[in-house]
Parts: sequence; structure tokens; C-alpha cells
Amino acid sequence: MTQTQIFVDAVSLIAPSKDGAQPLARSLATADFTAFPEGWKPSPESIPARARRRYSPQTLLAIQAAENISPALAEDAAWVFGSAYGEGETLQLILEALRGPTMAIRPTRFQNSVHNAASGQWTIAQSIKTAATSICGADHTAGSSLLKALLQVQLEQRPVGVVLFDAPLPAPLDTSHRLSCPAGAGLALSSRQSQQSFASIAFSLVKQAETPPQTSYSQAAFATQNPVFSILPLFEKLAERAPGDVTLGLNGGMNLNLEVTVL
Amino acid sequence: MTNTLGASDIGISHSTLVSCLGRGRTAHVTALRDGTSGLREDHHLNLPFSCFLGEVDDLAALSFPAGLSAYDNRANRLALAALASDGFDQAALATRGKWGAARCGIVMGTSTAGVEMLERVYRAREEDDPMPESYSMHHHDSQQAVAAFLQDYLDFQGPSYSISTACSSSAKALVDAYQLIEAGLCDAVLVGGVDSLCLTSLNGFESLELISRRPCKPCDSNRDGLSIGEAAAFLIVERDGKNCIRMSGFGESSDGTNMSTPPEDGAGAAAAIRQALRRACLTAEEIDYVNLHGTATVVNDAAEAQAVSSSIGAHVPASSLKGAIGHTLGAAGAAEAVLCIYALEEGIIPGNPGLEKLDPKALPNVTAQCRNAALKHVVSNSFGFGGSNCALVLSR
Repeated sequence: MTQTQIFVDAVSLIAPSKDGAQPLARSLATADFTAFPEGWKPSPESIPARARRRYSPQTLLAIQAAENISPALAEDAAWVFGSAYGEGETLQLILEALRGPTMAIRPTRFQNSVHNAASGQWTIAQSIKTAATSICGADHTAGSSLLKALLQVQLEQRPVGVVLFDAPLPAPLDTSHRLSCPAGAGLALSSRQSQQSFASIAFSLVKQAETPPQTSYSQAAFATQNPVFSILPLFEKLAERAPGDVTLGLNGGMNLNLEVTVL
Repeated sequence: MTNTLGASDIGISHSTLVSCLGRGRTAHVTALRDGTSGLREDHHLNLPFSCFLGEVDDLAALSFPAGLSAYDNRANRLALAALASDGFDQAALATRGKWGAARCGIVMGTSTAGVEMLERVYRAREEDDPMPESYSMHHHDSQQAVAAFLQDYLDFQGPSYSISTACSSSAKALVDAYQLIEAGLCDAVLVGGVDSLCLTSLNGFESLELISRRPCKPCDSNRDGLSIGEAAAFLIVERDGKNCIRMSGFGESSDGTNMSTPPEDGAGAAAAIRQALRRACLTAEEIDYVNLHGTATVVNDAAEAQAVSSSIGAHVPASSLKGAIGHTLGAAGAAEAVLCIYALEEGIIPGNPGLEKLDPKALPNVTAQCRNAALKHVVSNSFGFGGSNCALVLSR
């Protein structure tokens, strides 16, 4: 297996806590998980407030998570977006339109219904010309997306931004697509150590079970069933500032082991 | 292919394709040679407009595997039909036996997976009723639903995930398959693309006024839009495949300009093609054929002609196969990669079904009819919503 060191230059978490929507600004160990305040909406700076109604909550969340890590990434960075549920809110509006006799769908709604709507809108908002992908791995979307990003950093020797996002869906899809809290996360990864690098990761596939959440914050977050929170055991390890291994789940019989070294 | 020595040993050992032209290699090679189109006006969907579609026949007659009936939807039936063609399922099982299940991964490209089942269930409910408890996203409309079915059916226990970047999805999936092997995490990967006809895609493209009322005519002066098709295409990529056809290069880029329209100069597509040539260590003169994305919309075909002209040269032999199988959306990259493999193995430059009068702005070396030619390196283009561009170089 590979022993290549991948450097972590920034992480971000958009998830509710008593301190606001970014508990990583303090620490997962001391943050308290709570519901987002009623009416909370993602508010990415690169989308003007008046234009935000043209974007789904999922896309706005993803763009905000991307904004949080993009200052740590060079211009040649590739982007890996991961979402288990994708543009479910837009899909629901299309499904409703398909019940009518004309099946008339709004054109902008259709083009924003694709799973890569968020990555596409992010590249448009920032005039990004590099590779961008959009990954679904169901409940293991976080591990799958991170795996793709690590491969890309290692083999293409370039920085990669990872963006994870998922948000609850409206009725009636909410019963078959259960998650009770929106969340976004980001990681800026690089093949070269820089002044902003604060940890390094060596990755491999292992048979051992996923690392369970340690903090009460992460345990409460896991209970919301948002697949984004599968990344939290890695964030906990990074926040501990102590070396050690973390295992994230993948589909199939193997999981993604991350040997974390603090710099 | 990227920066390690091991990539040159990775090859494509098996492939299969199901489209409106038929099932497996013989049906497709015969159709490529004859210039046959599988697009038809009569189809099973009840649409509020008329169009020609590339529909796969007789999917309902397939016997779905016992114990996996929860996955039964049109997308997974397409997958099943592809597995059953050209002995691909046996090849997949032999691959698992050769390397071990844990060393065999799956990467699928899809735009809509089994959303066709969600559409049916959703529309069948009374208004304001909840979704039936029996409906399972995991098995149907999750973009991972086809990969999950394949993993359960074939017991490949390596990593399994899905790429969903609209119409570039399964071309990009091939990149991931190679990278999983190149990094030493897998010895073999089942990679491909599946997308079925569905109301969402058809009515969506209709809303953008992009659906032709005739069989689509890529590169033609009178082209006026898409014909949508459905397909399942799978490839086994594995280590020690030096003597196989291989993906010798890839390029990926973003337009960063518009969700559904490329820039007029095709700059993003050209950047992806240049990257692919660079990774393959090939010059533009060494490319024998370009399989165009060629959707038959006025704007897209013109931008792609600019992209190919600026990156490879205007006179490279090229064609679009959308007039044969339709635009198979998330499956297009893998389906057309398999057609390129057939072209490489058979020594043919496929024609461009639907072409009558070449657009003066199209590449000049696009011809309607298939012709014989020894091919060594071909480029296959796939572009999608979100400004997602992917170019592959396939070599023998």
C-alpha cells in the first residue's frame, strides 16, 4: 500500500453548535451539538444575497464549505464534491412537475438538478478551469470522496479541495431520504508541505471497522443520519493534535485507513 | 500514465455494451460497419411531445437475480443485460477469482441511476400522500444504486462508488478506475456507465428546447438537437494488462462559465484534450480518430469542432455516434469508450449516422459512412452539464 504523505492545509465544518455554524472554529471536544436555529440558511459570500434564491440549499451549503477552504488551495487545485443525496430538493420539484399533464419543467431547474450542480456552480462562481468531480457513495460518501481526493493528490501531484454536503429533503421524499440536519465539510489537501500544513496523512485500505465518533458533539451529529458527519472521526483526530490512525467507512469489505501525523 | 511507472501495465481486459443497437459486440460492430441507427419514434414512454429515442428492447423479459429483487428497476435491468452479454458476468467472476474479492473495486458513472422507479412511485401516489414505506432510495434513485447492485451481485469487495457529473460521468469513472489500480489499492476495477430513459431527463432537455423531433443529426447543417438513448457499458480494467487495449491518457477540466452551454471556443474541452495527449505522451498527429461528444445541438457541436481543431487539428478523422445510439447521458462516456475499443480492434473509423450535409463549421473529415483504417490511438470526448469536460485516449 501507499506510504505517500498527503498534507492537510485546512478543514472546515458547517454544522450546528451553540457557538454558531462552525464548531471547528473552537473545538469538537468542547462544542455542543444543537439544531440549527429556525430559518438558518447557508450564506456563501460568492453568491450575492439577492441571487441565492436561484440555488438549492444543497448547492449553497456546498459553495459555503468550498469557500471556507479555498484560500488554502492553489489555483491548480482540483475539486472533489461528495454528496449522498445530491440535489434532492430540486429533484422533488421536478417530480412534482412530472405529475402534471404537460410535465413542464423549468429549464434552470433541470440543469440544476444534476448531482454535480454544486460543483458546477462553484466552478462558475470562481471561474475555475481545473478538474471537478461529484461523487456519491451512499452512506459512505465521505470516505469515498476522500479516497478519490487522496488518489488525485498522490498520482497527479496537485492540491485538491474536498467538499462534502447534504441537507434534509422536503416532504414526501423526507420519509425515504432520512436525515434531520444539514451539514457541509471541507478539506484542503496538498502533495507538498507548506507553512499552512498542520497534519499529514498516509492512506491505505484495511478490513478493520470504522472508527466510532469520540466526542459528544460527534455522537450527537451522527444521530442526525447526515452522511457528511462520517468525516468527524478524522476531524476529531486532527483536532486532538496527536498522531494516530482513523478508519473511515467505504462500500464493500474494505475501509479507508488514515495514518495521521501532526506537524 | 500519471506519474508512476505502473500505469502502463494497466489494461482493459473485457468490455460489454447494451444499447438500442443490441446487446454485445457483434450487434454493435455490425451496426457500426453498416451505419445503422437504433433511434425510433415508437417507444414505451408517455411523453407530451414526439421524439426519437434509443430504447433497449425486452428488458422486462430478463430474469432478475433471486434475492436481489429490491434492486429491480430499469437502470439495473440495463446493467443485468450488459452483464449477460459477451460472457461479461463470467469474465467478472473470473477476475474476482484471479485477484480476490477485496482487490476488485467498482466505479460507476450515472446521471440518474434508478430515478425512473422513483418517478413511477412518486406519480402513482395520491397527492399529499407520503412515499410508500416499501420505496427504497438505496436501491433506486441513489446515484450509488447501480454500483450497489453490482457489488451485491458480483461480490466485488473493494471500494465501490459512483461518479455523477451528468454526461461526462462514466468517462471520468474510467479515470478513477485507473487511479485505484495505479495507487495499488485494487488489482482490478469494474467500471462503466448506466443510464435509463426517464421522464426527468427527457422533459428536462425538452424544457431547454434541445430535443429534436427527428433522429438527431450530429455535425449536419440541419441539426436541431438531441435524441436521448439508454445504455449500460462495462469494462474490466486490471493490472498486468499490457497486451490489452488501454487508456493511455486522460484529461479533465471545467468550463467555469455556464451550467449547460460551453464557451463558443470550446476552451475547456480543448484543455481536457491537450491534457489527455500530454499524459499519453502523444502528439496530435498520432491520433487516428476522434469520437466526438457530438450531441447534435447547434452550439455544442460548433464548440467541440473548435476544441478539436485547436488541440488536435481540424483534419483528424472524427465522428459522433449519437445518431446511432442516441445520447446515453451518464452512460455515454463508457458506452462510447467500448465502441472505440471495437473500432480499434476491428480497424474501422465509424461513420456519423444521421449526417446528410456536413456543416461548413464542423470538422471537415467527418463522414457518414464507416471506413476501414488501422487505428492505434483514438480520443473519446465526453462533456456534461456543470461545464464538466473529460477526454480519454484509448490505445492498442
